[in-house]
Amino acid sequence: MRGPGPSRKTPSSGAYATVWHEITSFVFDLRFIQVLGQIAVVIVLVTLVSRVVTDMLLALNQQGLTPNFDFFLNRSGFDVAEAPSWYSANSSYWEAFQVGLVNTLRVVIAGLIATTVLGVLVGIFLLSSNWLVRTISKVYVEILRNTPLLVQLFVWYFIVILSLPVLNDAVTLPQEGVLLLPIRLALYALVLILALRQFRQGDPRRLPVLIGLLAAVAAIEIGLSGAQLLPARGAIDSPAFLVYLAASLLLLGAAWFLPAVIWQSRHGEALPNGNGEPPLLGVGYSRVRDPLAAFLAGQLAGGLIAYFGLAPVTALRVEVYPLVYLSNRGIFLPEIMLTARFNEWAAFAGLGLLAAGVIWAYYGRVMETTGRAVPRLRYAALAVLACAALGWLLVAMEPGPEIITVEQDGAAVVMSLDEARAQGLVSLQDELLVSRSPLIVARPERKGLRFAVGIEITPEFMSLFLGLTIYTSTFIAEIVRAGILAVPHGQIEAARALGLSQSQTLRMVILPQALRVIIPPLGNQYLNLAKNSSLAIAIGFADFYQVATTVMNQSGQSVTGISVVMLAYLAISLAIAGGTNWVNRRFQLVTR
Amino acid sequence: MTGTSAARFHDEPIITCRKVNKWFGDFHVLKDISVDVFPQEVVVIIGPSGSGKSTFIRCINRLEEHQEGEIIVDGIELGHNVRDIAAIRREIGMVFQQFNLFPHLTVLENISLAQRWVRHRPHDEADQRAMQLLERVGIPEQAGKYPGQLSGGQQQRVAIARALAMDPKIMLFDEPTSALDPEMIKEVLDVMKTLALSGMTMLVVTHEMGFAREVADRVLFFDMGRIVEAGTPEHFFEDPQHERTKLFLSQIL
Repeated sequence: MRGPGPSRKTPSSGAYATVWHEITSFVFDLRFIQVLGQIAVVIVLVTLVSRVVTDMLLALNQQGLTPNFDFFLNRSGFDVAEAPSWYSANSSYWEAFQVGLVNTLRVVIAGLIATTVLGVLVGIFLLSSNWLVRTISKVYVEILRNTPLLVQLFVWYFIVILSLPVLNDAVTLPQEGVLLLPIRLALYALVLILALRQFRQGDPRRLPVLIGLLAAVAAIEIGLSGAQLLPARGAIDSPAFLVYLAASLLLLGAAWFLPAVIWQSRHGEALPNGNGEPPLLGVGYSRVRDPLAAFLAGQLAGGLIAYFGLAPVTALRVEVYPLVYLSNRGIFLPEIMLTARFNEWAAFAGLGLLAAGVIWAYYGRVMETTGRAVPRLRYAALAVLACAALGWLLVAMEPGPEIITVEQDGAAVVMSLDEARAQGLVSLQDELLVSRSPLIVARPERKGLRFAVGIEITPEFMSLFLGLTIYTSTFIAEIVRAGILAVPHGQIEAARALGLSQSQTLRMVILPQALRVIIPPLGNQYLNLAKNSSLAIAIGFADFYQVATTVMNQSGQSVTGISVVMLAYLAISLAIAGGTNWVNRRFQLVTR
Repeated sequence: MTGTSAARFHDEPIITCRKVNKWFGDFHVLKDISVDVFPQEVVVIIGPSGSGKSTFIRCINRLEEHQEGEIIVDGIELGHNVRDIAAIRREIGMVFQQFNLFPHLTVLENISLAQRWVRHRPHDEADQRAMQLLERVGIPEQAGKYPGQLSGGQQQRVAIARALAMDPKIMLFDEPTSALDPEMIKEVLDVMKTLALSGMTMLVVTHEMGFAREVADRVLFFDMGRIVEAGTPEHFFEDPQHERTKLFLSQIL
């Protein structure tokens, strides 16, 4: 037999050669070989898989464990640590799966949001021009991404969360008690805001002013609290008074000269003080209306008055109740509850939203056509706030019941609402019915070893949430850093040369281009977070996988159970991947 | 050596540099640069690479910070005040060697973006102005395309239009033709010539000697961070005084 050589060389061999030529050219056709290879692979795969599946089914049949879905409706017989009130041991396996899925989704969704915010911030900090910020973020990223997540979960759970105090000694925020807010503090805040505003306006003269201001506030606070420790107000020759006087005068002088001295050392010329006054003592000095000087002069006067008891130290009295409880049994937060009047108020708020929409669209068009910059977000927000506030006022003005029947010492008593409230006899359920405001914030309320009212965050959820969020955020930070660095520096220079501000450059030039690089790997990190949430089983959080394991142990239906688990995680992953792909398509660049 | 051609220009200088010094680390890039540029003047800066010519024009709109001396643009001294810097950047347009168009925006959006956000022009007006400038640089039909779909020469012409859209008083060109194929250089130079004839104040860093000869009012020759020679193109090309200039010209001409 001849080899499969090109038959053109032997045209004389006739019909046989022609047929042979057709066969060989078919068999050695690249397309045929490719198809053949694929068919072979499929045959091998199907054989192997069907062999494994048949063997498995046979073995399971012999044990009476044929995979099926019938057991789904059987009584589960177990409690889930973190379940809504409708779930009990009498609920079905199917309902147990649902509880687990909801728990997984809760931690995944909360984790995705938190890790994105944290990761983007740390990513920007990694590129900060501030050495301290940059180094701290670098250390954060390097330590946390190079230790296993499981270890981190154990640290969060056993070392951090479980070492919080027991429920009876729970850390409360804020501490219960009475707070006296000195009016002085409000004054400080006001001055700080003014100083910050001026600093933002970009005059470098304001930088030393700001630093001086902060130092002065700190120094005076410390000085005042020191002075108050001394026995009596007092005498002009007491050492405390002299120290206070000296410190105040020193600070006043510093406020007057410090900015000028710093200015001079940086620019080699006297600080221009605007009104053409000659420099004092060889250096320039700040204008009297320089906020710091005025502020310190006021402080000196105010301090003296307070010291000699010439004026009472005015303070606002605020009663404080704990809103947040931190304990090793979990974190308890206040709950916002809707009262009977909520719907009426919601109508007003809806009206506000509608108005905001109209304002947004209207000013959008004004901006397009006139080019006038309109702070339309502010206007829209104002419309919502105004409508909501007005609605609240109107709803609260509606008259309500004056009297209420309450239980006192085991007997039903009718008394006025105010009196019942003062005696603390109105139950939360009644309060929801009779309250004049549409919403009430219910403080967490202890009832034995549990909290009857309030949102509960279990230690397991908290640990898993913190662990997943922080671990994933380190990877996201690196992705964000890389994405921003991937934007050519020429882009930033072009934006600057056109006069775009820093935030405009970030928003309109850097971010749209960085996102293109950031989104695909970001999607991977989202998937990682979702899948890593199954580590919940290590710290006993009742997530989908943990519930499914219990179901499989009890029912023996491991094949169905594992399939359901795989399907559920597949669905979550596909949803995340679909979302990121959709966003990704919107940021692709058009090129030739 | 400043103001050699000032006779033609009666106004006050629009850019004044006095004893400008700059270092990159230990490397002294700019050494005592003093020069005045007058309104409507076209100044061409040439010199070997690494001589500091690009750094110098990048100092004028503060893409680089000078450490000593003063730069005054249109009556505003460049310092650390962000408002002054913003005001100066509004008056200066810049064209880069690598075009630096925004790849995620269309040609039209590239030109109208800063008009809307910096000059606060209405959207329509900004687009109209953009179209007008695209016609002036000869590529109105490319308005809807993305920069990645254009040739280098077209991209550079869009970049010129983008800078002109801000109605600058001064235009800086940082080697605008160095990244272009030979046949595209001409189309960009033609646009620049028209611009020079229309009376724009221009500072151009370039290796195009033909352009310098034809369009420049004054040529500055940079070497090792100093202005070695300055004068009219005729004077510069026909009768260079300095040895370094002669050597440079002998190598390129």
